[in-house]
Amino acid sequence: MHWKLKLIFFVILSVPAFSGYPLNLLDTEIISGITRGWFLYFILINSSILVVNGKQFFENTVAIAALISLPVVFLGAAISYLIYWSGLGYADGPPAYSSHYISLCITMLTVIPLSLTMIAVVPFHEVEHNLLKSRSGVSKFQRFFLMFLRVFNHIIYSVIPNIIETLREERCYHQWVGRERMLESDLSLSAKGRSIHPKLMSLIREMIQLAVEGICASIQYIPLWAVEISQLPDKKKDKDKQQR
Amino acid sequence: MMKDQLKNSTTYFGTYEEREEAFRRGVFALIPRKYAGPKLFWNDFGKITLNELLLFVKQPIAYITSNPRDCLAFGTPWQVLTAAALRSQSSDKRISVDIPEIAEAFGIMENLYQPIRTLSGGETVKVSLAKSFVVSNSSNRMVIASPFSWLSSENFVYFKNLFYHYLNCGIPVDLLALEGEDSNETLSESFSRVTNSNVEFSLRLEDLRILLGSSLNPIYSEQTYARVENFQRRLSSPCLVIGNNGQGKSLIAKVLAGALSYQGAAEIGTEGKTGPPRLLFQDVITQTLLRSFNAIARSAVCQNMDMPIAFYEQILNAYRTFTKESHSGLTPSEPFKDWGFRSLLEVKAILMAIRLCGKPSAIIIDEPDWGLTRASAAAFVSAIISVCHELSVPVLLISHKPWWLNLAKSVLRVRRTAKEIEEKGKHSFTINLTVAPAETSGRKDLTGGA
Repeated sequence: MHWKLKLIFFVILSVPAFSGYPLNLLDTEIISGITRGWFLYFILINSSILVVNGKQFFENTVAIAALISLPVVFLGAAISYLIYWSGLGYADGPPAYSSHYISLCITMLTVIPLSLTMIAVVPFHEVEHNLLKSRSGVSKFQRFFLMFLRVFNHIIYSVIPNIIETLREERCYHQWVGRERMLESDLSLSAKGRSIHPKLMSLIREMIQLAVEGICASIQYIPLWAVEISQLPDKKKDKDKQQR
Repeated sequence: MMKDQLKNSTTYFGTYEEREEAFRRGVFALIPRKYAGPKLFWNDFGKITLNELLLFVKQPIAYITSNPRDCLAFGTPWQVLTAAALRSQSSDKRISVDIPEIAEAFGIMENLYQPIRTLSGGETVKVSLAKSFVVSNSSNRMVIASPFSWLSSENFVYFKNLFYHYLNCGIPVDLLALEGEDSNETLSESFSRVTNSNVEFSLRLEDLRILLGSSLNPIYSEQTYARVENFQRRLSSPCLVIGNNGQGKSLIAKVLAGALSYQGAAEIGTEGKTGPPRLLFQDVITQTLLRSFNAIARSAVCQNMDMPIAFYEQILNAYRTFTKESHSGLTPSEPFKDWGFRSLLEVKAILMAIRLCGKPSAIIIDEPDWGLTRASAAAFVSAIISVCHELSVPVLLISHKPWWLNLAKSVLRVRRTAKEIEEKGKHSFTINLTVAPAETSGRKDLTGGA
C-alpha cells in the first residue's frame, strides 16, 4: 500500500479519538473504566496496525506504547493512593479513582500506537528529496523543515538504534546472570520480594541516564547541521523580495 | 611525493582527547564534547554562540568528523550531494555539479538513493569524501579527523583524489591524526609472544539473515537485508576478522554479541564458558551511554566492585609490560572507587574489565585501534589477549588494518559477495566468511587486494 493511502487510512481511523464520535455512543462499561466503544476502538486500531504495517512494526509500537503507558498509569494510581492514604482526598478509597486509570491505560494503549504509526508511515526522506530537487533554493520555512527532518532522522535512525544495540548487548549478559542465579538461588519468596525495591530504583536511574544520553546524542551535531542548512541558497522568490 | 604532502598536511596527536580538541577548534567549537560526560557536554553546548555560527558561515570549511556518518546532514547520498552542490552554487564561485558523475568517481553510484542509515561504514566514508569534493568550491579549508583510522586500503584512492583536488585548488588541508595511525605495517614479531597459550573456540553461523537500518523499515518499501553464508569452524584465539570498509565485519560482531536482532543461528562455543560473548564497540563512547562507570559496573556485578577492579588491575599490569615494546607513553591510571572519565584508553580498559566479570564465551573487539595511537593500541590489544588467555577466554579482533596479523592465530576474511535486487525497492547482499591461513597470508591478499 502506498504511504499516502496508509496515512489517509490512519488519519480517518484517528477521527473517533479526537471527536469522541461514535465512541461516546457505546458507553456501556465492560469492566469498570472500559467502555464497549473504547474496547472496540482499541481492537480496531491495533489490528489495523498489525494488518497494514506487519507483525514486526506492530510489536515495536506496542512495546513502546506499553513502556510509556504503564509507568504513567501505575505512578498515577500510586500517587492517588498516597493522596487517599494521607487523607488529602479520595475519601471513598481506590474505587474512586481506579476506573479513571484503567480508562487512561486503554486510551494510551490505543492512541500511542496510532500516533506512532501516523508519524512512521510518512517517508520523510522522500519529502527531503523533493525539497532539494527543485534546485531553486529553499525558503525559510523549508529550512526549518529540513532541520526538523535531520534531527528526527538522526534520533530515529542513529540515536535510538545505538542505545538499543548497547542495551541488547548488555541484556544478553543480564539474562545469563538471571538464569545462573535461578539455578543457584534458594531465596525465599519474601527475600525475592524485598529485592524489588533496589531493582526499581536502579531501573529509574537507568531510565534517567538513557534520557540524558538520548538528549545529548540528539543535539550534539545540531549546530553543525544548522550551519550547513543555513548555507543553502535562498529561494529565488525570497531573493527577489529582498532586492525589492 | 604523495607521502610527503600527506605528512606535511598531517598533525599527529598523542591522545584521542587532544585530537578531538584540535578538530573542535577546526570547526569553530561547534561540536560539544560528548566523550567526557554530560557536565562537559552541556558546558560546551552552552558556550556555542551566534558569533561561532557566523564565523563558520563566513569562513566555510569542508570537514569530515571522526565518525564520517555524523557529518552527513541529509537522508540519502543524493540529498547530501545535492545540498552540497546547492551550497556551492550559492557561493561566489558558481559551478555546475554533475552529481551522478561525482557519485561514479567516488564509487557510490549504486548507493545514491539508499538511505544513509542503511549504508555500511565504507559507503558512508565514500559519501563523506564525495561531499567534501563538491563543497571544495565554497570552502577555504578542509579539516578531517583521523582519516587513516577509518580508511581501508580500498578506499584510500578516493581519499587521495580528494586530497589532490584540494591541493590543486590551493585550499589548505588539515589532517588531524593519532600517532602511528597512518602506518600500514604489521606489529613487530615480539608481540606474537602473547599468543603462546592455546585457546580455541567454535564459530557457527547458520541461515543467518539480518535486517539493516531500523525496525521502522518494514513499513517502507525498501528493506535491506544482509544474508550470511553458513559457516562452521573451530578456530584459534586470537582470531582476526579482517576485510575492507563496508564488508560487514561490525555487523557480524554485533550479531555474535546479540546487539542486533537476526534470524538464524550465530554462536560462539568455548569449553567451560557459559556466558554470552561480550563486545567492545568501535565507538566506546556511545557504548557508555554517558553512564558513570560505577553505574555500568554495579549493574553488571550487583554492587560487588572488587571483581571489575581486580580485572582492571590485571589489564593495567599487562598493559605496562607491553608498553616497552610499543613505546606507548600513555598509561591508564590506577583504579579508583569512583571511576570518572579520564581518557579513552581507560574507558576501553574499564569496559573490558566489566565484561570479563561474566565468564564470557568470547571477547570481541571492534576496530580495537579506534581512538588510540598505534603504540597504545598495540599495548592495549596485547594486554587484553594476555589477560583473556589466562582466563581461557578467546578474543576476536575486528579490523580492516593489517597491524594485527602477527598477533592472530587464525584469520577470518569477511567479504560482501553479492548485491542483488530481489524486487523493486528491495535489496540485499550476502556476506561470506572464509578462513585464511594466519601466517602465510600476505597483507594485500587479506585486506582485499588493494
